[in-house]
Amino acid sequence: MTDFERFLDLVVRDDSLRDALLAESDVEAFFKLLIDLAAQRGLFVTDEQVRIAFQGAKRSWLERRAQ
Amino acid sequence: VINLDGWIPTGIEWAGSHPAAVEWCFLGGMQFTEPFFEATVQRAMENPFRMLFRPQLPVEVLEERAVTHPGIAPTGFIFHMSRCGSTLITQMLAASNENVVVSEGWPIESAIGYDLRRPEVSEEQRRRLLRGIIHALGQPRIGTERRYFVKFDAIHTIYLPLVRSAFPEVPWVFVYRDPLEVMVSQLMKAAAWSLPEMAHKISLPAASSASREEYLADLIVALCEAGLKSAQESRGMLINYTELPNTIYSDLAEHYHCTWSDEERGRMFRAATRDAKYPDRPFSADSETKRRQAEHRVRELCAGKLGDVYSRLEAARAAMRQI
Repeated sequence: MTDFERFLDLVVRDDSLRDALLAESDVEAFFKLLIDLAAQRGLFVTDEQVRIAFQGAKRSWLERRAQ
Repeated sequence: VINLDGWIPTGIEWAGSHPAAVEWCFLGGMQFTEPFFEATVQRAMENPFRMLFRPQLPVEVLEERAVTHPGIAPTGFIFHMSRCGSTLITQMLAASNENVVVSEGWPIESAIGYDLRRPEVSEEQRRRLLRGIIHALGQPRIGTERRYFVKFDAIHTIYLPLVRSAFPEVPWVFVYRDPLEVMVSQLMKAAAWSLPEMAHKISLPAASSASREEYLADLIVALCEAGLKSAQESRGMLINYTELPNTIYSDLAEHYHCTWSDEERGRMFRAATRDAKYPDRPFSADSETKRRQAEHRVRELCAGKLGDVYSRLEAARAAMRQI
């Protein structure tokens, strides 16, 4: 499991972490916040990892809608 | 332990005939106020957290949660033939903060399906998934809700027996309209399920019909026959478009065992003055326009098989309601 995957797992188990991320509606600021919050927990997440994951999430969402 | 309060299922991932995982999305306090579930979830997806964090959890989590967190027991279900006022009903119900209203939620589709791709999935499995999805969507969103209504997609009327068997205590209605007006509406702007190219997904015997009009007529007849048959077998209520919106304050409320407060009635009344699918526009009656637009072949179909099932729906409604 990568640090990014560990962080994703952490977020769905930690309501305060979830709420902090949810409050950021600007995509670029959200990426930065995510990386910072992960770093605060000793997890190393790169900007590229977040962007790739986000694009993948958008793609899978569009595919789901098209089904 | 994952706290799924505020999360809703947005779909089931299938591995062949096996439901491998359920995707969840965090809605939090967002209410289902848009005319359709899809629009609410699309609004949610504008937030980057909600877009990125859509965990896929084992299907057992959904099924267990239906037992441990059943949410609000469903108050009533709505089935319909499409383009017949069913969205007006849901928009009026959704005007009250005491109601959770899910309108054509696609996770329901992913549970019961109208396709032929997974015929090997047993009825019991579909029932379990349906219960899981319905209960997961019926959670209070702002804390004031005590009733829960689900409007199914029109094509899901063919699965009325499955839904009834999963929720035998829940009163339901089938909404219908003069088929000429429905046909004109569908021919002007087709629902995805009504397109002939989607025929391979629909387990209805209509796919081989010759023309677009005949195919559509066969589909609508099948929906009406399914609604009529179930209404005669169980405690379904038949509602004609012409009864809307007044019946929502009277017969429908009684059928659902509901008493609306004066404030709720006021909110519903105001909702009824808007176009149900485009609430920023005022309502404008269009029956006469649709009837004028009907072409000869559509009129023929409506005088034939569509007219026949419509007459039987009207006769059954009159008998059941002593109209």
